Amino acid sequence: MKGVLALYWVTLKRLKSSSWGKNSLFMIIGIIIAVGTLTLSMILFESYEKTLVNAFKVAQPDILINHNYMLTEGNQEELESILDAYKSEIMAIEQKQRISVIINRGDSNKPAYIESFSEDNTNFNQLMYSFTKQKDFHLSDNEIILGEYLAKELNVQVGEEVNVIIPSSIRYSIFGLVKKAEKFLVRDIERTGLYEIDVYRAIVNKSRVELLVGDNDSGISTYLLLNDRSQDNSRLVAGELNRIFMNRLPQVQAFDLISKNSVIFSALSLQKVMIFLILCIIVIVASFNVISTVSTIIIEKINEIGILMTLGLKRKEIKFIYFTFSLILAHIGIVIGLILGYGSAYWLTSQDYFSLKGDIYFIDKILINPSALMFLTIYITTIFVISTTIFLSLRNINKLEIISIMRQ
Amino acid sequence: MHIIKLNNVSKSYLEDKKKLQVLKSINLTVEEGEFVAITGTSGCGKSTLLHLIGLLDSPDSGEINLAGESCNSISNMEIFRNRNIGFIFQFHYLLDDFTALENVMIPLLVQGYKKAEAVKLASEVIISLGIGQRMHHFPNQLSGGEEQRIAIARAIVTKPKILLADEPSGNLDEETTQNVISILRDLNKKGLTIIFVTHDLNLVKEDDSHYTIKEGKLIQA
Ligand SMILES: Nc1ncnc2c1ncn2[C@@H]1O[C@H](COP(=O)(O)OP(=O)(O)OP(=O)(O)O)[C@@H](O)[C@H]1O
Ligand SMILES: [Mg+2]
Repeated sequence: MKGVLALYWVTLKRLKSSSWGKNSLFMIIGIIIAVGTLTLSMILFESYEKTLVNAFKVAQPDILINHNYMLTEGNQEELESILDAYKSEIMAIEQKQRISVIINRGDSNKPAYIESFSEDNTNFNQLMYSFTKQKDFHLSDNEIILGEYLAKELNVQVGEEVNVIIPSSIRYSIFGLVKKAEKFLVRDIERTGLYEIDVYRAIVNKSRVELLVGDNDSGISTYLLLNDRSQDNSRLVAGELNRIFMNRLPQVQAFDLISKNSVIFSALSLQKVMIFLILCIIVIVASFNVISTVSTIIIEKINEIGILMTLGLKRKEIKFIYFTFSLILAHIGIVIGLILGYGSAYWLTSQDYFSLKGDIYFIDKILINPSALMFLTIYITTIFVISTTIFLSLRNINKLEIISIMRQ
Repeated sequence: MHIIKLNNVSKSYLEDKKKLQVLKSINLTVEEGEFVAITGTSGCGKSTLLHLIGLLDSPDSGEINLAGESCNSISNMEIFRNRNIGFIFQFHYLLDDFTALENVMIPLLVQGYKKAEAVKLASEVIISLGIGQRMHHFPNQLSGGEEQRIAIARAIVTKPKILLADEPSGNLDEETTQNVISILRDLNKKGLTIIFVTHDLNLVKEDDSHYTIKEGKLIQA
């Protein structure tokens, strides 16, 4: 193209000029609203997903090896030797016992579970529990740590007492029910962000748990934290472990975080795609605006088009000028829409009234953390839809004849 | 050499499904450097003829030769037009978003001139037409006569062989008309072939090749 320079110059000039018109403004506003809504929704959803995965990760081990009961000495050695081969992968490991209990304070009784805590496993504890932030954290045998919502429901504060009842200890006697209740002092209240854990978990020193359960060795499992805490890696390692267990320890099974919650995660990613597709309709509606704006621009600038034709520009080149011009206008809308969507996602989640119901959504607070990929997807999709629309609208220029323009 | 040669050129339009024969077998030969004046009543087909000569439209039948080339054999119509033909219209048709200078630069840029060169050539032409002091103004800041002179500058800046002027003074007062016409006469003296359409017989001179269109026929007046 010979006149490329001229074309760019003409295009840029058009942008500087004051003759944008109301129509262009409406088009830009339409695009801002569409892209803004799309961005806001996608950011909220993606951040929800990420926050949830993160909460799962903070609150749970990467891999849980389930054996339900204490392994025989031989099997325990076998398990240790299997895991030994993965030494370089494993960052921290602990065998924990979980027991179902009822926690009582005053009139309220709440179902919960007690998870054993080994003080010496500092590496593990610092990764898993936020209450161990202070150095040489020590949990006495009579102390208990409650989940945020558990404490709330029991209406208990740090430093107050609760009673722990182990259902298996309840016996019938001629005097009625005999409950063995143990007193604990609430040492701390723990928040993981994952509702299911914050409403059920209580943490007690391992030696005390052993005393509580006596010879009951149910609910024992091995928690693994990996060096590479990515979901893919956990899945990979869990898969490999399961293959080994199948031959050597058939009663043992490894679960990774994602497989354990696979229903939630696959539903989430399906939903994300659906939301995106549905919201793309808004962009398509906005591009109807583009059609009318571009058509109006052509009509308003018909003289200009005629002059440019007589001056030796081809239709193709004239279309290029108006395409670039309209695309730059649309671009302004897209960029503002992205920024506004991002900003309002931040603003919304920082408002107090915007909090989720933990029992439905698992988490109650979304941390905004959008990915570059998501911005890129929105950007490319909207640019594609809008430039196609502009291109199609500009086909009207093909039908224009110079003489009929000049006769007007 | 004939710079323009029309051979049995006919043109009709379809209006409300009725055929309107505007031009019937027009023959015309124009030599290089001629000043051709075409007059006639409104609607007789003056503009139509000019558009055909300027390759803005194509005839139903007949042949048009420009600068020795048959218009049927021109492969790149736009470039040919840009190089060889300059247009001036009754309504000045400047681009509103551009200054006078920039308006005059556009045909040069389309030809591929660098911007600096285009600025130089365009301002030279504008100055030669006596409106150098207005070249950085926008069309809506110019008077009708000034606008028309800028349009002339834009038409001749690429040094075309032919200048087609369709009632260039139709919208101007008498004094400005004289000014614009004298510019055209000057350009013609320097060798530019001009076809000048008007309905004002006072603007036609003895020496001009004077034609008029009647009932679709081109008649020597
Ligand atoms: N594109 C077109 N479609 C239909 N009819 C047309 C078209 N162009 C011109 N005509 C008709 O052809 C006739 C000649 O038009 P033209 O514009 O050439 O006249 P003119 O001599 O230039 O008139 P004026 O002095 O008013 O400018 C008119 O009757 C006009 O209505
Ligand atoms: Mg006319």
